[in-house]
Amino acid sequence: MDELRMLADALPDAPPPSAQVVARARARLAERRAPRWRWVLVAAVTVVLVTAVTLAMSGLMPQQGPIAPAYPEPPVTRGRLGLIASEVVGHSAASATLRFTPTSEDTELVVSCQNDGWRVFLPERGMTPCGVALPLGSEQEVTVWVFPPDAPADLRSSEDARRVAEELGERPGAWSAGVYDKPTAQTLKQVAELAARQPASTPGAYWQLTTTMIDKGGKKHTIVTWTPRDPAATTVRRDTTDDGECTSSEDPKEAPAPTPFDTDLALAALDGLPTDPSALSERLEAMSKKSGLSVSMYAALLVGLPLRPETRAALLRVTAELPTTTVIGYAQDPLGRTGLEVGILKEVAVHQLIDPASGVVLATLPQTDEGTAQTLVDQRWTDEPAKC
Amino acid sequence: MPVVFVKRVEPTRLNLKTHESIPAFRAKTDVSVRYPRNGADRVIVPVERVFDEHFAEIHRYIARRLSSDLADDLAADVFVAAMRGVHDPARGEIRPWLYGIATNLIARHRRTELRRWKALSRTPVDETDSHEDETVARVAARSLTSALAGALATLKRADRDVVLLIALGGLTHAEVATALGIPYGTVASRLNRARKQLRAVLGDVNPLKEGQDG
Repeated sequence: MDELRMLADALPDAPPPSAQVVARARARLAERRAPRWRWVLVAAVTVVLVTAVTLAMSGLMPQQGPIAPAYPEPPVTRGRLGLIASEVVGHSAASATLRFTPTSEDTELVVSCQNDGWRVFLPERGMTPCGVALPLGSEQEVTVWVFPPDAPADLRSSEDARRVAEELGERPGAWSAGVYDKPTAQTLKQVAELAARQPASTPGAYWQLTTTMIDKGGKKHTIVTWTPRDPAATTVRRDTTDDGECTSSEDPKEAPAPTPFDTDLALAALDGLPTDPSALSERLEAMSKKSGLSVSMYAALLVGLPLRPETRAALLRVTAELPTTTVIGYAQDPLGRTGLEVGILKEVAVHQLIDPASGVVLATLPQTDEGTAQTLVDQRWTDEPAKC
Repeated sequence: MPVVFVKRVEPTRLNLKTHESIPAFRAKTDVSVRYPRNGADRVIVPVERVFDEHFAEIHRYIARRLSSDLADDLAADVFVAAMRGVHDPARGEIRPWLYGIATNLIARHRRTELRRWKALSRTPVDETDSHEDETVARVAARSLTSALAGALATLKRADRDVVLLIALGGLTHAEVATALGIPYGTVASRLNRARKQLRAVLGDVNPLKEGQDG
């Protein structure tokens, strides 16, 4: 046997990285991405002399002269709209073709250019400056050209554009094109797919939920509740205002019940919820019949609870199908986090802001003047409730 | 020709592995920019894809040389470092490049690695409390491990890098040259030297015999 094979077999193997490790590494990568550079690999068609090249400082140093169009990708949201197609191109005069499926009548195209004075050309529509939102109709495909300032302004067709591009030649400077459209119930189902892939957290004795509320006077309240998994234990609640006042309560009567599930659905029971959407839907209907609360009420309450990833995914799928559910669009919570704003309830004028990456509720946004936005800062399992 | 053709292969495809499935949070996959200049094809490789494709194996490579705990951080460091640089096409594929970065990060933990190989080489081979056949096989494997680990500890670092990139990373000789930024000939000579040392310790090992004696 070859000694290298032997070596490979004999040395202890390592377990694959845990989902948490992968998620953490991915998050570190994401942090580093602003602006999002792309890696560039030029697969030379001609023969490359690999061995002649030394790895300058082992690739840990920034390399000279990036070959990539180092230009940020279009932002993933634009107001309420979400990015549905995008391209980054390294120079003008050049074109990009974006293909997409419109979800509403509000589809728009935004082209951002690195260089001043560059202009956007859409065949049959004419020239506009960069950075302007251009409404798109029911197209499934749009070809965008970007030209330097010295391009003639009277271009009409794709043929014109191609001819002028050849005449002008290649100019350095990148640009990006993004197509934005309204998120839909389908988007919620896609969030469900991601939710299912979240790492499951290990339940502790208490589910700790940190919420901040800013009242009309601008006063900030931070409320932390420790809801026991064991329904016989006491809920602990700590209320801190920004002037330092802190009250703590272990009296179950004083501490507000986090949900109306206390009777028939303790936190521990959440693990027993079906992970299949249709089974979950039936379960919610049965609960609804028993209690008189609507299915959508259960959906809205459950989505804010510590569900296992697969249960959360099923719940989001059920929610997407509910007739009362409306996907409003992307929005920011008071902490500036972007989420998918969804109206689940008819009876209460409150929207849920759902993290598009995990399906977890970021905030509840009241739709009346009386309400106060509740921002869910943090939620986790813990074994010990803290006191004031 | 002054036109860049940008082509999205299948823009609506859902990739459920990462964020791609949400339109607004879709990572850029399936994007390639054909760039017909100087006879080279330019392909933009999104970070997410490189990460998805290579994180696990880079993690495993580091974990096998150092420890899983260290690999948790260092594997992420590899991709962060890789993102900071721009991959030089002349170095060939991305995979050996990543292994090169990993190897350089491992070099900073040389003492940890040496401790690991030494510890493995001391793993006891006698399993006196059992007479089962499977124990024999286990003992055999273990004695082989300790012999090879001992040999690894005595190799020069440069030689060890070459050997482990091939044995654990599965890189070809040319890829090792790429990863370490050394000429092909150097890879061959380092490998030869290391092989001799490994063979020498293997000659001393008769695992089955030792196992039965135990």
